[in-house]
Parts: sequence; C-alpha cells; structure tokens
Amino acid sequence: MSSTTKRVDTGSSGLSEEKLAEVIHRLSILYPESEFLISGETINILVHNKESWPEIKQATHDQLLRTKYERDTEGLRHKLYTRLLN
Amino acid sequence: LTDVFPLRFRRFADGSKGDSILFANEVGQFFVSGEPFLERLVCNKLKSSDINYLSKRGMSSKKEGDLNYAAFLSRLAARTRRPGKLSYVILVPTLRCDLACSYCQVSRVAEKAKGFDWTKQRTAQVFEFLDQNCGDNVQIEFQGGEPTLRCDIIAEIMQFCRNRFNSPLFVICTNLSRVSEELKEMAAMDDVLISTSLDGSKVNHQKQRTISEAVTDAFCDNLSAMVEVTNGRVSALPTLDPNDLPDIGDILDIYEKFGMYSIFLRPIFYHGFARKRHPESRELDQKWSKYYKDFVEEIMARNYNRTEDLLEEYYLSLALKKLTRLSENSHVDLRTPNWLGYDHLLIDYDGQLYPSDEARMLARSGQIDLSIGSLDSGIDEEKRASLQGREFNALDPWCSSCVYQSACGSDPIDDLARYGRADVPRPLTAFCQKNMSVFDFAIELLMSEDERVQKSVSYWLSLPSHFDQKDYLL
Repeated sequence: MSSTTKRVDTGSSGLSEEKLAEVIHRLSILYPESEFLISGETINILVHNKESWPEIKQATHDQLLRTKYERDTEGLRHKLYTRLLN
Repeated sequence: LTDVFPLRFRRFADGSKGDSILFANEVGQFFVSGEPFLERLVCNKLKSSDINYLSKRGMSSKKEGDLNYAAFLSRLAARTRRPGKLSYVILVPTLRCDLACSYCQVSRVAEKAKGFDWTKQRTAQVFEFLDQNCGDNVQIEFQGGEPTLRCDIIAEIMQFCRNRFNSPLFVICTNLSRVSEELKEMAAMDDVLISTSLDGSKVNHQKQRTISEAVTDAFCDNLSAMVEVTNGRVSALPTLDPNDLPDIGDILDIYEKFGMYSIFLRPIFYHGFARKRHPESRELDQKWSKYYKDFVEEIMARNYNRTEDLLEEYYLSLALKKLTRLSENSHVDLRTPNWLGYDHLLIDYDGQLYPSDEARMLARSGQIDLSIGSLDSGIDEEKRASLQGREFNALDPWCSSCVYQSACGSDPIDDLARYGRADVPRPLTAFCQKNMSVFDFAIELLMSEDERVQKSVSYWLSLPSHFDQKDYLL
C-alpha cells in the first residue's frame, strides 16, 4: 500500500487557527489511519490508502463548511438556549 | 433580516441519490436539498425562495419573539423539560431464575438460592417509595431473575398501584417456562402486558435458551396460552447472535404464528454475563447491518398485499416516528435529555436503586457501581445529578453537529459497559454507529418512491395513505 500526501486549501473558509485545529482533530478521529497537519492555510493529508481519498476529501470539505457555519451561528444558538433556560 | 435556526447536514450515503443532502435543525424539522443550498447557507447568501420555504415551515424567524421564534423555543422546551415524577419503574422482586441462558443480560442466581427475594419488610419499603415518587400514569415492569417465581409479590404490588394511582400499567417480563394459574389470572387483566423472549425459530430458541426439547415445547405451549389469555397483549424480543443468524423467514413465521406483528430485532447485548461469554458482541459488524436491512425488506414484501396484520420492526418504526413527529420522545434509549433516575428507575432485589436495568448489570458484573441510592437511604441526589452530565446530546461536541441529534439520544451507560468510559468520541461508539445506520435507513425509506416501501412506512407512521415526499424537498 503506497502513501500519498494531498493538500486542501482552507483559505476561503476564513477559519482561525483554533478552528482549523478543531477540524483536524475531528478528521483524525474519523480517519485514524490518515495523518492531518496544518501548514498556514493548507491542510496536508497523508493518505495511506489511496482508495479512501475521495471520501476523506469530501469529509474535509464538509468539516470546513460545518465548522464555519457553526462559528457563524454560535451566537444565535447561545441566545436561544439562554432564552430557554431563563 | 432573517435568522435561520441553526441547521445540521449529512450527505446521503447512497451515491445514486446525486448530491442530495439532508438538513435538520435542533427541534427535528428536516428537509432535503443539494450542494448549492449548502453553499448558500454557509456563505449567508440564501435566496428569497430559500427563506420563504424555511419561514413557512417555522425554521426561521424575522425577529426575536415572533411566532416562529416562540414556536421553535416551545418545541425545544417540550423536549428538554425535566420530569416531575417517576413514570417507569422496574421492580426486581427476586434474582432467582429457573433458566441459565448463556447470554442472559439480566443478572440471576439459581432457582433454589436463598436470600435473593424481597422480604415482607422490603416490599413494604417499595410501597412507600412508589407512593411518594410515582406519577398517576406510572408503568411498572417486573424483571428478574424470573419475577413470576414471586407471583405473590407481583399481585401485592398491582393491588397497591391500582388503589394508589389513576392509570397504572404493568409489564411482566417472563421466560414463560412455567405458567401458573395465578399468573394467568393476573395476565388476564386489561392493564397487564406480558413480555418474553423468542429467539427466532424454535430451533434457535432452544439452542440459545431452553436447551431441551421438553422445555422448548412447554415454552411454546405457554406462549400460546398467554396470547389467548391476554387477548394478544404479549410482546416478545428476539435476541440474536450476529455470528449465527437464523433464517429471516423462520423468525417472521413463528412471530406471526403467535399473532405478534411488532418485532424488536436485537443483537446480543454487551451487558452483564453476556459480556464475559460473548466478547465478539463488542462491536456491531456489517453482517448485522445487512441482516437487519434484509429483515425489513422481507417485512415490506409481506406487508405489500396485506390490509391487516402488517408487520413492523419496532426500532425502525421508532426511528421513523422520532424523525417525523416532533413530540415523540417516549423511548428511554432514544431521547435527549435522557432523564434516567428522574422518570425511570429500577429497584433491585436488595433495595438498591439504579437509573436503568443496564446500570444494574454493570454493578453486578463488577464494572462500576452506578446505583443512585437505596430504599433504606433514599435517592442520592448528588449521584443522580452526576449521571446527567452526558445525558443531553445537544451539549456533546459531536452530537451537536449531527443531523439526527434531536431524533437520537444518549446512552453513557452503554458506553461505560463497552469502553469503560463515557467520554469516547461519539462516532466511535456502537450506540452512535447503530443509530446512524438506522436513521440513514429510515430517511432512505422516507424518501423512497417505491410503492412497496411507502405502504409499510405509511402504516408504521399511522398515516392514512402514502405521503408526498415533495414537502421534504427544497
């Protein structure tokens, strides 16, 4: 089984380093057989099984979208729960 | 300016569905759309047609406090409200049992063992506890051991509850190896249900439980008798070994033969003595998943030409209801928050109180003591509250991103049983993997245009005819 390194640009997501670390953490749990590293605005992914790349690529894209969306709606969610609990 | 109540999304696992993506919010409203909508949502560039669709369905609000906002909060509140009284209590009047099934998930001792039954004093304590803590619609489940070894205690409890509460219901869980006249008399009452185990075919049941042909025949005769006595108020659960699965047709045939049309298909649980004897049950495998779907396919095939006696797989029906009925929140293993110990509790043979049957098993197998008090000392409020830390899946970092969060639940006790800890990332737990698979399957069925599928789904959801999926499409 040959390994390959793939790159995903995160520039358009506008996520902070902290949020990107969160994305990496999640991906590492979902795909423990691959290695994820952040370099600037790029996620480098060491894929050991080439066949799994399309799925990992999609999952990375989705995690970036999800994290961005959750960051942007965090305030509304907090407001709803504050209203609910008070 | 319009606020869309936060959505979660999940791509359909089936690639043939194109780029279909399921979206749902925190109160369980859902719809299906595609990649362009996802991009617009994330980039905050929704079209007016998107906003109209969401607004009409109460999934967005124009300002804080408007009707949609209030309705959303109301739905959220309805699901998170802390219960006032106990609505479900499991009683274990004896730990003795006349069978010794290899994977018995309930702890038990030999039939002749001494010191494992409630004493008169203990039974009086149970009366007092029920009197102080239960609501008028309480459901009492008798577990064991084999509880019918103490029909006298069951009768006393029933009499007490009927006098004390408005509408109590009783479930007697029994292996039906023996049925006394006393049990038949109790079971004939309208407020009593009988629950038993029937592991698929007669051959499989004998192999896993009854061992000898004579005991198996006695069980079948007793099951027939109870179905007759109760006018059909008998349910049974098949517990199956994923490494030795019986023929699907055989299971359905025998359940139909006994007039039971709702089947809760379960793999061997990883609890109690089962844990030691079947270590392979730790992980659900693909074999089970395929078998489960084949089982449902066979049910739908049988249902297609029927007008009555339609079959269902109980857990799939529950998942469908959880997805489509915002008020559905009854099943203890599939709700959030899961108020274990507050509305659901077990009183063991020794007077110890547990938040669930599984918690009792963990204590019996020596893994962890999750008791929340005893009849002698009362409920330990601190211990009970400490269990709630992981019972609300909306606060879990993984579940709070999941499209099925509101329909799903939380089972930290199952996580403790399998992994020895309750903070395992959710996607790695058997609970999450199983429920993701069932919910994915339920959505696939909901969105199916196959008449055969629609007929069964409509029946399971108590809809008058097949419904229009277009309402779920944006």
